[in-house]
Amino acid sequence: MKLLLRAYPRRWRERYGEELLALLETEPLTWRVRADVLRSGLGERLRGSGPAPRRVLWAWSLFVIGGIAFQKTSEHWQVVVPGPDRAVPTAAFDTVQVAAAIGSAAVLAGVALAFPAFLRDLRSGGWTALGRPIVLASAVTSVAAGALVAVALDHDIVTASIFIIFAVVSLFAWTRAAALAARRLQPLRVHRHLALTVTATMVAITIAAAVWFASVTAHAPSFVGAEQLAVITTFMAAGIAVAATGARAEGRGPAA
Amino acid sequence: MAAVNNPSLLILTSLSSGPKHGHALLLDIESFADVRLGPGTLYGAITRLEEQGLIEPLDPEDRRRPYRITAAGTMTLAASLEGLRRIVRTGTTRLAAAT
Repeated sequence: MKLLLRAYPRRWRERYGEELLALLETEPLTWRVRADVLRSGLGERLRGSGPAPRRVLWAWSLFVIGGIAFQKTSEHWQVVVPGPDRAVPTAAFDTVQVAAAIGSAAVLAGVALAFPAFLRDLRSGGWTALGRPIVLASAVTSVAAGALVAVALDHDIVTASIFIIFAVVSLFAWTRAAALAARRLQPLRVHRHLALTVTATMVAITIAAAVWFASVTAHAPSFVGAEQLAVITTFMAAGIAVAATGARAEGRGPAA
Repeated sequence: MAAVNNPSLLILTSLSSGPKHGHALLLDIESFADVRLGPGTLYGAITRLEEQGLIEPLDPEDRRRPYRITAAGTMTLAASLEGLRRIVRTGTTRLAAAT
């Protein structure tokens, strides 16, 4: 019976577990009852103990930097791996692409679903709190866009570095604005599901990228440079750590 | 066909006659609504109702904790029942006209 209770998040068990256990002891433990408890427990997990949506925004932003570095690093990898040995790295690489597409779609869906409430919040006084971060993010994005135009015109390494720095700052500035906006809104139930989806895709991408790295470097040990590998692993690990920390913090908080 | 199977409404209705713990709620609901809620469903609804401030926990008796309806819960129940009454009136009127 106690095993059934494991379906619920720890925070919920601490608050209601003993009561539910006492109730279950008065009921015949049929399969229908077991299924009902299991379904409710998993529902509570989805509802209350997943990573907080705004925490996942930060996690995804960090992860995206690692993902872009992976994308750049993996260009033309087929050249160094002989045709007969490409099955594993191809499957791993495709998994990264598909998971990245799913994760991005989940983030965009979350933003789109929150947008009407965000607009209502802006109209009812939210601009006072959100105006400055939004203006700051817009300004940084403008500088990054200007640097991108300059890079396209003269291919200068210094300008390219400036673009990269401002692009990263722009990403974080928009994430900060979005997280501040999310803090003011009541997340929908679907946001919890989307946050779980994004976290799952980050884990899938990391595992697939590790498989790809191992299978490619088996044929070309120097294909991925140490600096590129450091950027990829640092930001991917940071993204997952932020999401995981958020999930643990949510599950540990006081119940009532 | 059960007349109403909304667990939250059933719990509020049950608690409107006084505080009850989980097992007493199940028995009471079965007696007046002919609905047997699963333990997981019951506690899911209790969680939600407590979060919304519609019910509140009392001191536990052994391992069982009774709950009572709050003033907000009473108002919500009254509004829900009024909604149901409108449906019953409309349905009854239309059924009478059709026969």
